Amino acid sequence: MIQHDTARHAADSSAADRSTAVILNIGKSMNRHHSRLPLATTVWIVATLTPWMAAQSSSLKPIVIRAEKAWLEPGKSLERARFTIRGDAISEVDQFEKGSKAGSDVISGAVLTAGFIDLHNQLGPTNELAEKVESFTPELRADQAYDPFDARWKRVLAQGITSLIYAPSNTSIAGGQAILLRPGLKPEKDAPATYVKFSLTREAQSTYKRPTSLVGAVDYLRESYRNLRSRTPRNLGAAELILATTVGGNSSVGIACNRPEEIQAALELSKEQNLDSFLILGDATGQFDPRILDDVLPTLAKEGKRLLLPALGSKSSQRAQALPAQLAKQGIPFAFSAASDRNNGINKCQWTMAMAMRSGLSADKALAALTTTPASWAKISDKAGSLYKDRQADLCLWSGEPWDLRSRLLLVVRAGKIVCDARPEKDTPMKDSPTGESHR
Amino acid sequence: MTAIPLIGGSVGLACALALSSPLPAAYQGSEGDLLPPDVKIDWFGPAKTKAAKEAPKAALRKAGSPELLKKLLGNRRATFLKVDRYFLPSHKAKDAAILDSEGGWLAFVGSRFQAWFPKVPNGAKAQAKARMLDLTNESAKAFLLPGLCDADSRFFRSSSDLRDSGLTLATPAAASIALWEKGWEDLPLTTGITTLFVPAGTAATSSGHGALVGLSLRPLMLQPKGGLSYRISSLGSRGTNLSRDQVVKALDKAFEAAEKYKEAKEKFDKDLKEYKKKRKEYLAYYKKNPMKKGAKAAPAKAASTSRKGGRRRVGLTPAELAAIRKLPREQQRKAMQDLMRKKAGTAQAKPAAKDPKAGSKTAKTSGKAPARPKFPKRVPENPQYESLLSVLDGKDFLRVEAHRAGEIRALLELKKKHALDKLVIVGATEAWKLPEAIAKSGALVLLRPDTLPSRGYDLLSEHLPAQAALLSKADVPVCFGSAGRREAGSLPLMAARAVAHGMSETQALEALTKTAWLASGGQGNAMVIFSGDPLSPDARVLCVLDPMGLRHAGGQK
Repeated sequence: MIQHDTARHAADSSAADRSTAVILNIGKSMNRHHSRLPLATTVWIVATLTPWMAAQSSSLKPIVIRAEKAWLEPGKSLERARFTIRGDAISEVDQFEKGSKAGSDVISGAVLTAGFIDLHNQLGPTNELAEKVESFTPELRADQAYDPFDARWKRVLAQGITSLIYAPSNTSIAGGQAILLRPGLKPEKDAPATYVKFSLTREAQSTYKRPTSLVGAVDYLRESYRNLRSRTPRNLGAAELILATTVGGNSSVGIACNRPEEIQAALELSKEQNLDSFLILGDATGQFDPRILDDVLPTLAKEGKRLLLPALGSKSSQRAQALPAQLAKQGIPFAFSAASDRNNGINKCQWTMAMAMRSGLSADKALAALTTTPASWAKISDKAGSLYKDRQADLCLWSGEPWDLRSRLLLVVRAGKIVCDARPEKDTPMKDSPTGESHR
Repeated sequence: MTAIPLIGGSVGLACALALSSPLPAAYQGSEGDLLPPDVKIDWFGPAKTKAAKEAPKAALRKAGSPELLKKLLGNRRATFLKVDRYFLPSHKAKDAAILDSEGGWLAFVGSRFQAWFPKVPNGAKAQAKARMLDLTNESAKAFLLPGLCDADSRFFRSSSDLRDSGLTLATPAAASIALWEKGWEDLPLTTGITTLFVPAGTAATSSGHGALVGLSLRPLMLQPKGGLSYRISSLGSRGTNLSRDQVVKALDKAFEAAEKYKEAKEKFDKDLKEYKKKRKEYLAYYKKNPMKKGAKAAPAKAASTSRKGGRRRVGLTPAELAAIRKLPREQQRKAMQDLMRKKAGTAQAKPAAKDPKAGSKTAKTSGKAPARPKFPKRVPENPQYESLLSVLDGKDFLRVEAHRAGEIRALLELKKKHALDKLVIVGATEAWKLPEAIAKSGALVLLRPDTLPSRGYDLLSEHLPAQAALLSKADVPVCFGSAGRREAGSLPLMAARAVAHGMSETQALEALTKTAWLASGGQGNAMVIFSGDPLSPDARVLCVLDPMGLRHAGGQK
């Protein structure tokens, strides 16, 4: 990890010194060929490059954001915080003096939090995220179906989500590998999988392909693991190789399940194969069987299993709203999966936190379920989910506490760049909507 | 107002409660529950008392007298509550206020606010028969406000009833309401919603009176005469500008027809009055001059000698015909016409000029029997027109679903033309385009989460709360409806979002309480105490105070 940080620091330094390097190189070149270059050419080169270099230096200008309070991580805040962002990382964290005025180039707000992380995102064409004929395809990578130019990523960013794990859909029992992405950015080449996605839900059961039932689905997975043991490593295919990495907890597994019997089966399978797994609740519409509150919560608490919950909305039942508070009470780790394009224009992350808090969840737990918890599950705690020096510059600036629906998300910074700016002074004149947004 | 007992497992309990307690006074009054007795508030008109007109906030905050305190402390039905802050709606949106109780006590009898007492002596507390509850012990930020209202709920109605497209203005929701339905029980104690407005239908162009259901009482209280519903357009159905125009015209014509119906009824009432007077005279005459045996009473009216149209068939006798035939052929036709005209003129001879002294008085004095009066033509009862008349008379609210700016404009013109006092624009997706016109008209706007459909449109973020804030800034009264069942719980959160867009907290609380009652055509009857600011996410309902008493969210009594 240290090596990784050093490498990134080196990269940042080189980026910061890029303009200096360019000037030096030109200088060297000019010195070398001094005798050959006529004066007019030299003047022309300097005149042409000066504006370009000025533009380069302005792009490297640090972004300074200050807030009355910054949640460095849930439960740990810094009053009058000032963050300096250079490149794609937070280069400095300090405090500004009380009553001091912010300069015109400083962005101000009330509360600053880390960018949210969505552990299970399927935005985009659903039928592209799973094989239709085969139901066991763990070797497939979800990022192959990712379209960075999809206009809906803007809406995801406007909710404060700066990192997401793009996951296969629930329609295959082993749909493929979920990959960490930054919404709207091109994926890193050969990025490692965050987890392998399994599904025991009814969506994975079809009358046209195996499995057709829950018992069939569990048996399919068991059989696949049995076959793995009977083969030598050399004989393993691509699918078996991916499956092999999950045995013993080398790779995480996310198992989609909605009903108590599916959760029970997932727990048994995890125990048998010694999987490092977490359970993904909610179907395509974010609904799940509320019986799990009565039937499986004690088992989950005993097993110490982690739960990924769907976003809460106005249509969520009282029991679904009460689930996060009950999980927190029983000490079951949980995170929220909040991104959805069916959000009726509302900020699902903020809405989910507010609804869960109405049912008794504490503010720290609500914020953790969208920042530090998913970061640790995705093994990116050293990069995202908190606001410390040298972390990725993924930030959300709010007009109040993020879980309070009376506050607005003012600014989103992803990888050191402002990707969403909804500050009142930036509001466009009213065009197509009362929010001042335009369809065009 | 009717009390309909809850049917189901708790029939016995419901019946027992219904028998043991008469209809609570709060249901019969027209004033707000939270208002002190000296501030009479008419929600639908100007303030009635001088105090309320001049300084409403000061009047609302007037401390109770020591005599009143003594009287209330000795009343077993009285409840004294100590909270940190409380919200008082007012007849004018600008007068509504969130007040600090400053360590004082709020006194209620049932759910009716009596007075605010800055201090209650400890000795008096110990001897008090009234219930004393210091809710600041449970939460230092305890906040009291009237029970919230969902101004457009789908509870207690089956989906098939709601989708019935054959409803008319004469089919009220109360006729098919299913009060035995479950699922709403935890709403008051989890969300603070104590009143639901249930429309008669959602699919029909017009539907009758909606119903207001009070959730905080057992049996459930039903106020059957809520607002009437009309639908110009809905976002779910396709329509053309022409078809929507037809709906507006149809509504206009319906009002015109209702006005004619009203005129006809008024004429009938007038004629009936005259008939009764004449009949009295007629009977009086025969009482004074009893008829002799075999004599006949004067007919109601002399039989008309003329046919309809003023013509009478005139026949020629054979002798006259023979005489005409004897004339030359070219003269025969003219002679026949002349003869017939002559005969007809005789038959239609004008009746003798009326004697100016003729009439009942003359008949009496002259001894001539008065004519038997004829019963006026009765106007058949039309329930649809009756419903519309209640709107025209300003008794009921008309809730019209309209989304496009053009439709809303047409609706406002209609309001002006027929002088409608109470109009609610439901949905109102494009109301933000004409806030001044709506504010000037005095119409209310009811916003729902389905204001923008979830599919088929490129959604603009936060349309509803942004629109609510924008309309509030233009002084348009705004309220919220869930257009669903469990979605009711998200109404306070929706109001909180509107605050994020610039609506004031007072306006947001008004939208959830008073404006929602207004748009529903009824009144709330309960109060809710939250653990903190009702719009903050960590606020929870501590207890609900209704005419039956106090219920704690934790189950304690």
